Amino acid sequence: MTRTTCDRGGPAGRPGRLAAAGLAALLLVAAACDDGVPGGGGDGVPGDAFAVVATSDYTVGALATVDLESWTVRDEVTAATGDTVVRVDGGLVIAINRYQVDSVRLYDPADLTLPLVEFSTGPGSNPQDAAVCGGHLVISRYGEEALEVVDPATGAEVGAVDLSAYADADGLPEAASMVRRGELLYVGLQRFDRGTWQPAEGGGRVVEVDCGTLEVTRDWETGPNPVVRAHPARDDRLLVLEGVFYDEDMAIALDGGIRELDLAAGELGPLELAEEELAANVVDIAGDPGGAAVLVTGDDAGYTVWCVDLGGWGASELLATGSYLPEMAVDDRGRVWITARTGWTDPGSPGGLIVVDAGSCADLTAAGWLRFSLDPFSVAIVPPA
Amino acid sequence: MARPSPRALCAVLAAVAAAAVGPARAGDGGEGETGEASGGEGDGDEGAVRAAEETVDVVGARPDLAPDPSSTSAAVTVIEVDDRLPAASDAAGVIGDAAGVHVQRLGGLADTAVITVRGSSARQVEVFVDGVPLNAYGGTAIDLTELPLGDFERVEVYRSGTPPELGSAAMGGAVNLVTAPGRPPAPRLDLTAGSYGTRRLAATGGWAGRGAGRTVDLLLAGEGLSSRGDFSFFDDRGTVYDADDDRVLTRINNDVAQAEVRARVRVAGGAWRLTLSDALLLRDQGLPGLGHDQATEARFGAFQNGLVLQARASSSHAVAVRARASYRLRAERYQDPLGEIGTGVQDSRDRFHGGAAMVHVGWVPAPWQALGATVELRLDGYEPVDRTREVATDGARARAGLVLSLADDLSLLGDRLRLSPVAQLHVLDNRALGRVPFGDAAVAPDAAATRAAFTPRLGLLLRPLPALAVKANVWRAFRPPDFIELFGDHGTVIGNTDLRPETAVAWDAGARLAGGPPEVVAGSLSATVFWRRSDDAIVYVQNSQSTQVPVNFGRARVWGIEAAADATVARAVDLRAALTWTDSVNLDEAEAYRGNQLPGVPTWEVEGRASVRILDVARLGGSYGYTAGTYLDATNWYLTAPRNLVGAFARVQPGPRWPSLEIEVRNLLDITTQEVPRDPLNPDDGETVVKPLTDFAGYPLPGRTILVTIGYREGAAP
Repeated sequence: MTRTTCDRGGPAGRPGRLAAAGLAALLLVAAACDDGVPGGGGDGVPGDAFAVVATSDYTVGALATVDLESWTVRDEVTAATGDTVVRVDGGLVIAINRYQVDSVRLYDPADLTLPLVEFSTGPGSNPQDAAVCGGHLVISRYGEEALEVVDPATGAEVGAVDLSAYADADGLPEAASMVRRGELLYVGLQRFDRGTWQPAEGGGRVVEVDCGTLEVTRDWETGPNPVVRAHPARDDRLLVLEGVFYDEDMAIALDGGIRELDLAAGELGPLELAEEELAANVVDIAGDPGGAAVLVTGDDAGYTVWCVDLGGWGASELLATGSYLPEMAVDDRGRVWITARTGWTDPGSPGGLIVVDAGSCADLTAAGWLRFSLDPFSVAIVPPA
Repeated sequence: MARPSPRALCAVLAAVAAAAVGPARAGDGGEGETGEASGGEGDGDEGAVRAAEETVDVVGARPDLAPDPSSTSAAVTVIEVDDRLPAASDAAGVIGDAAGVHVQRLGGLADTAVITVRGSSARQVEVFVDGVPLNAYGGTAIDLTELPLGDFERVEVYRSGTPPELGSAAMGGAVNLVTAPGRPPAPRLDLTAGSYGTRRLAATGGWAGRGAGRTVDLLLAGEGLSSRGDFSFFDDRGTVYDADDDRVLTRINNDVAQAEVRARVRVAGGAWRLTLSDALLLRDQGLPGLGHDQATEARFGAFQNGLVLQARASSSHAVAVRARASYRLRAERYQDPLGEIGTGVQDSRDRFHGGAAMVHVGWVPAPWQALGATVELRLDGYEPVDRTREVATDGARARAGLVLSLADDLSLLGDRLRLSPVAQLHVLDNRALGRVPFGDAAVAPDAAATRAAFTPRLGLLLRPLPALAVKANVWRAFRPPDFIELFGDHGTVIGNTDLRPETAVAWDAGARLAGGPPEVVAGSLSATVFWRRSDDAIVYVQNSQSTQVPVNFGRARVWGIEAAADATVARAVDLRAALTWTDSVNLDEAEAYRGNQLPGVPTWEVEGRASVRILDVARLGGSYGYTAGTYLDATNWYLTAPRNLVGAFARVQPGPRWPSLEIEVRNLLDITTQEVPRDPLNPDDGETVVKPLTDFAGYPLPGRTILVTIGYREGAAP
């Protein structure tokens, strides 16, 4: 049932100064709309780079792909779940089936119709993120006190990384985002009070895991709800996004921002960009090796895409939308692919995939977002072979 | 609200049982004395008035005026609750026998069960007890397991042509459960035990007497039901590509304990009658949550009491007046101490109030015409309290409603043609709904402070031959969002204060052939085509991983054909069958859903039930249900496999004064799984996987269930 589509309907986030770029992108798509081999990524040409997209209406979901050259969308390549996120690592496409499904599927990027391996992460484990590290597949799980370590060839559990020392009073550290740097893995521990879903006493943590020994080697205290992201320009640094979205009175909480974690010095720096400064919550960030990044923030009114200079931490607003922008990924050309879903504050807002060139701060989809039958939730980039 | 203790439940049940088997009826209470023409409020009132004209005395001439499907334009099925059914039958299962009705269950015998009619949602079906609405403007979908079938003498399922005095403009029809309209039934006592720790005690009793020109009767009925609900179900551990880790799990935290008592006192004079009735319900249950990741601590409890005072009188001038005042209080407790169901820990106490006053006047100015006028005032209230925050959640909500109905019933061409126009107006006063949670905006801004909806309908009945009835109905329907849809915060459900009322236009047309000598074969055959288009349909959609919110879904169109047959052979064999074919189309603008079939609405449904009485000492019976073409999701990716469910029962009773012994087996073939395509987006690979049998994804249904009942019915035969 793989559907190839060139539908680019839906309103632009902000037409105008970027219309020319958008038009060029549209022409590029129109020229590239063709059928390829179902199941593989991109245009079906082996070795091509493509984006793998998890789409969902929270009830059901699917995997789709977008060719990075032609922007051809292959929709509904295979069924996923209503809460699947995708990652690419170790030459694998990793589909993490999260809440109430609790399983992981590993795909050969050349064939997304049939997983190489599928395994359960345990009832109620709620897997969040995955990375291939030290020959192992390491999985963070919201509902467990340890990272699960499995053999990616078989899906068999081969170990665990105990994080119980970092748990708050409810016994769970809420391990979520992960970034791999060589043989080290950095994991954001959100440490939520499960009763209120507010930050537990003592804030969050970032821990460093040695993938060889499967031991925690360092840790850092952070603000609430830390999310770790790779620093696009420096391998010796991470970006740590902090702060909750709503406070306990369900008001927007501008309690965080973005900090840099200096891995060489072992120091977590001050807030480089504060949520108060942006008047919104930081959601996700990605950028190019030159230090040009794209940041998404959100508040009650909707979501905003910013261009950020990671050198001076200056931010300029690129577009605002009532849609919900949950995730992003950056390709090898410095283009940031942002998933957009119908927002809960604006039921008429569109879903789709937004593409922003980080270096030029250009909205390449100003003429219309890439469309899917279901709204995209998660995106990852399969690099060229 | 405190959880009802087993001791309290036992006390209530003991009282019911004592009433049932204790005093026999003191008075003779013949039907002509204590029976009456239209005992249930849902009885055809104009029919009652006609009876009044024919007999002068409105009370007494007819023991039971259940609607005759051949004498009304309404598409109605009347189901008698009697010994032809298994003793432990539940309301949902029996109502599901009617054409056009689809039952959806969250589990087994005592778990939540709702019905949908002709592709409606469960909330679009209005449920009444003796004509008193249980889910008017403020109430939610009715869980039919809270209504023990043994309390009632019959069930009327209106798919169209709902009697105007019910005040209903239901999108999906109406179900009216009627307690004994005539004299109190003979004492009955049932004790049931069965699979999954199921225990049931049901009793009915009554008393009738007369003196000083008055007749008095008392009806007392009740049921206690408990079950562990710990049935086995299939679990694939969330890995559809790996069958090696599949397993069978036991449902946990799925226990239910429920006690229900219903009492009614009637005093009748020559042309008047006063009825006071009360129904009390206590329910406590675990909430097991979804499939393999089951909740262990989440619980739900409900206390409900409904008090109804009714008066009716008639005059020799062919005028009958009926008045009713009712008040219903429902308190619900929802506890999720570990945050296993919804987002975070929840502990709420919600109170629902529903008060109504109704006056209906029926007048028969001529033998060929019956007029009716109904005025009903409703006031619904909702008081949610969030115990985790120890504050009332945004205060109490209330909504007032007024329903005005004018009905005519014209019999023309020597009663061969009957026209039944109804003009009905609903006025809603939303000003007391309050303000949006966590905001300052009023829920009902000026434009929505008062809403009016005109829901006219017209019924036509043509009887060219005495045995043949040709029917047609056209109507408008309307339903405002209920309190949970607007303000709910239970488990996975979150309210939406932006909801608009949903509306529909519908018609149906059909024919019914009935007749035959009862000594040989008597029965009926009917077929109906139905069509409905709904706008702004309120549908729950998942808006995050763990929450769903109701939204106005746009438009939907449903049409279909339903056929039914029933027969009684030699007064010993009873057969009933219904077939429904439904074509539902989602007209939503979203590309993923547009043109798709509505989720949860089967294309095909066949229900059949049969029983035979053997030598007045035994009865054998069976049931069969077939469902096919049901999608679980709006994208229509997940089609459930065709389902065949078979049930059977055998009852033995050596003599009229003997107790009976019955064995009932549900899901006789022990079907708990289905085989479906492994990847619905690539079905051509031919690979299939096993999934548990469900009506709602994540809520498995039980396998073979055995129930043994020892019963006593005064003077009854099997």
